[in-house]
Amino acid sequence: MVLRTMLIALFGLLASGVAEARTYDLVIERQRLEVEPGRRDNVITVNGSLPGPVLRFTEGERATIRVTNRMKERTAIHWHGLLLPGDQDGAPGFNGFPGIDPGQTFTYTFDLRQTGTYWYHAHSATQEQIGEYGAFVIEPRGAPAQRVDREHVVVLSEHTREDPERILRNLKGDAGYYNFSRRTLPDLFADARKFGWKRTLADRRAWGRMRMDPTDIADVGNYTLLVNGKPTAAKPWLELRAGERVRLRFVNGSAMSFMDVRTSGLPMTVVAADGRAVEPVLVDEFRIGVAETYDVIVEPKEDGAYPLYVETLDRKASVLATLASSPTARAAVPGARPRPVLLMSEMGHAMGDMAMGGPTPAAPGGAHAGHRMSAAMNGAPIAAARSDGTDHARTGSAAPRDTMTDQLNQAAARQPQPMEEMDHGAMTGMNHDAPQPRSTRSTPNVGEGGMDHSTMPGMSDAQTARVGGSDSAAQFCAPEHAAMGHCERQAAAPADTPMIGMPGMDHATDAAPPGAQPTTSTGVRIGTAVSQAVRPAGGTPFPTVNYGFGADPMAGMDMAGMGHGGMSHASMQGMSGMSETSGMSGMGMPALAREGDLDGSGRVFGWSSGAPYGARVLSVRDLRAAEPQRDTRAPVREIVVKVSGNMERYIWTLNGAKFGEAPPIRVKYGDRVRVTFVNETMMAHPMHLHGMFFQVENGQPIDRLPDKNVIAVAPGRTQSVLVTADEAGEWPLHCHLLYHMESGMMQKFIVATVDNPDGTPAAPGAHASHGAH
Amino acid sequence: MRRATMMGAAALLAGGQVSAQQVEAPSGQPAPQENREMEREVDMGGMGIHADRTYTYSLIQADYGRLEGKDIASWDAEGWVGGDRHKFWWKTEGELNGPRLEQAEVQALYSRNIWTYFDAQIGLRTDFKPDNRAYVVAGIQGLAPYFIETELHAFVGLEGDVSIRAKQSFDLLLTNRFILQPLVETDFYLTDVPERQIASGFSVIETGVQARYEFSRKFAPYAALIYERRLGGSARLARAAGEDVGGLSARAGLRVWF
Repeated sequence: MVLRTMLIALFGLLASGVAEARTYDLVIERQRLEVEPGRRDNVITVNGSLPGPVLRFTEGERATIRVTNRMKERTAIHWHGLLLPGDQDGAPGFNGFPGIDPGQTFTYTFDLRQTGTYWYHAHSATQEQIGEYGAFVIEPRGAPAQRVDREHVVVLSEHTREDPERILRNLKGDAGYYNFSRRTLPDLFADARKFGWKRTLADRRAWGRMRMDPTDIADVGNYTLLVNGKPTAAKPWLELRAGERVRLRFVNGSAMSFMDVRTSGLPMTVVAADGRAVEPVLVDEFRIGVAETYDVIVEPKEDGAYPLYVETLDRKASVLATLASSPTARAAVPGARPRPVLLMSEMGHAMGDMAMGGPTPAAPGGAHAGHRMSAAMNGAPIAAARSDGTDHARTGSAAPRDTMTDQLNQAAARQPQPMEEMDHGAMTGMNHDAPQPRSTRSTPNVGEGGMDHSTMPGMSDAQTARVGGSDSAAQFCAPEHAAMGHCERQAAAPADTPMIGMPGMDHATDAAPPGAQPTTSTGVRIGTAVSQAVRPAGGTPFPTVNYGFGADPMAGMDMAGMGHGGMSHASMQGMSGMSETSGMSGMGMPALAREGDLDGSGRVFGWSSGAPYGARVLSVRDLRAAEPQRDTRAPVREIVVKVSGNMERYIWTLNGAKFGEAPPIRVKYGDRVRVTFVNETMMAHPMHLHGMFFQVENGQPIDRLPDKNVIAVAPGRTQSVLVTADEAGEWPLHCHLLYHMESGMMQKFIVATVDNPDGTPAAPGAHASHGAH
Repeated sequence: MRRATMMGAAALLAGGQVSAQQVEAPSGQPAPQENREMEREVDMGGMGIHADRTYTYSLIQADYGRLEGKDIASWDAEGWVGGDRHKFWWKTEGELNGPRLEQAEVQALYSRNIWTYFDAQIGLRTDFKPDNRAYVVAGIQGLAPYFIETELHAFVGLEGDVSIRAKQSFDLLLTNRFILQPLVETDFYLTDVPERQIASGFSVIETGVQARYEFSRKFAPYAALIYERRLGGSARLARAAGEDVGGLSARAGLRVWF
């Protein structure tokens, strides 16, 4: 062990006369540390500990952080989510920051212009995986918005015994290296028994033709999850007493793991996301993407041992911490969740081209085009529409009208639900006979009949338009609407999530107590990812869950983004392009089952499935900024970022290009742009932009769109964000899955007052959409 | 990219010892981004960070078995060094019949990713047995739909013989560790090669199934039933020369990759 060398010094006023200063010294070194009891593994520590110390500051202070590299390789620390000058951001190769050489000390200095929960981590090779990370907390200068009696920082992370560079090598050698949950011959028989040979074989053929694996939920395995550096075996404990109001600052500091976080019997009120305050949302659980942070408040009414149970989506790794007044108390693990298996339909448009079969030659001269997934080939829907480099976002909107309706029709036809359950909004979209101005084409919310939203103060079309094709009429009723009496939310939120055992699951889910009333008495909204309180007759064993990680573009119902002024013409063109390339033929793909069904071996269909009926689960759609947004301008252009890759070869790209293969994205300082992430892969990608928050277009009112710095985009989904480019510099835009970033899933996002070196104005479409061609 | 990797390696080597040297922090108020920022072209990091790496992969299979009452042993190994797009591939395979080395060949190929799942390859092959011969090789290797590992190569011998070799295999999972691998490989000759008792047409087929148990992905013992036989005119020529045309063999072996 190395001595803790953290120093906290408080100086008086600086020459600038404004900022107080607080200084930390961080020492990075490799050592062997007992993370799991009884064995010592190679890790990287910050000041001798894993994770590194929590750095605490107060808003308005000047942070001075001296980072000393005692390793034999170069390193770099990035301050995740902080607003700071580009050369203090800590991403090597950006803004001239070279990284920190072995034996050197680099002093970061920046003024703190924000409050909240953030974190820091290595931005250098794969060092982050094995310990080079920690939490970064900035307290408000004045009174906090949430008064609490106690607070804990909860850093969730992974531990591996393997050298992370070896992990990457293994993945390059065999992308399925860590997946020991692939479908087997016995699974084939089990599915055939359940679904019949015809459908089962059609399903297997479809996946096989695409050369994709529906069990590919996580790339890396053999992880031990940690809470503040401790695995379950080390009995992590967070002190908590009855009657207290406690803030938990969650940080997902893992390299690769989306996690489901549950506190059984102790509801959580989410009050901040990625550091920014949001209007409170009451939940039993939330899914935290890599690099996201969430602040929650818990208020235990009685003493007890509450479990904080965190597990990865592939259910291969978990950690149990105990929230209790005594360190000896031990909570029990809440019920197990089934492992998900992806559905063909989740691939959205990505499967379209797949149906055309066969490898497609790369475009001449586009050497790396061949790396892209087939979905991006031949006409790459969105890219094709923009490949002339012009800014379609601002051109007229009449042309794609009919095509759009076709898309809606076809998308609707694909919905597994019977028609009466169909989202009325979608039907409205489908049944247009005559072209209408788009502003009136917004989708009335389900359950509100013919309500005129324009009469409802503060409710824009965008707000009421609902994303996500899987929402059925029976399912969706936002609590706020319920409160207005527009619909009945049957939800009821059981005090605890039902125990779900793997075998008898169909029965277990019925245990959810039916019919309780929504918790609106205190005015706190409830998480809406799960919208059904009980399993309806004929319903699937598990409900569909909408985490709000993007909308299914082929469902054609992503009206949220379209309701805004600067509407994405490009994406509409993309859709028309798609039908030209017979992308829609993918709609005929066999669906073995519905989302939430179980396969023959007890896995649940759907990337997001697993939470039970009645669970109050956070959706990104629920996030509403606590303070009004200052910038509500319409974007001047749209930047489409196709999130793509070749899983078989473990190559990951943005717009078909690995990092460094395409020119940077350039945005003029002060401009407001929409960045639309189109996930063409079957993995979820937590997309992160350095240096700035973006506003997530999640269906909330335009002035209440939540700020985030990471947005997860689920397999086959599309999500747009609005960026006010008010921080000059070169900023990494990347997938925060470490091995994806290291395999190329990163792009340079430049914000500057001058467009091009030669003084010519930037040609927006040129870099933005398709560097590879 | 290669440059960046090398620089990274150099930096790594150079930074061997810890020094107390202090780097002066940039000023607290950095200059706003100016034109110079714009002039910097795409920089892979230039410092070995976030840069392409060079990877290596080697797969070695060796087994022992009985064919028509005789001991046989064979090896089949291949590997590559390189990045995502450009690779150097090497391959070697051979067979011992009793103590006698009956067949042995080595290939060295440049491999370039041209389609999503396929590489084009070009290079040289040298045979040491049954006689010394060299060939120019061109072909493709990759993953066909339905996860079928596929190789198709043409060999043009410096002595004028021309042949095509096709190879396919597939993993059938009995469990996630116990894996059946059906495989088939065949040679088609466009020319006669009398020295090797080969007539034009399909000359040989090797097919069978390998059952391996993956204790880890990198270590898997296996048993295999392989049917290997000369075909058509080549079989007639072999018989005329008093040689075996082949048959069914049972083999046990080890598959490792690293």
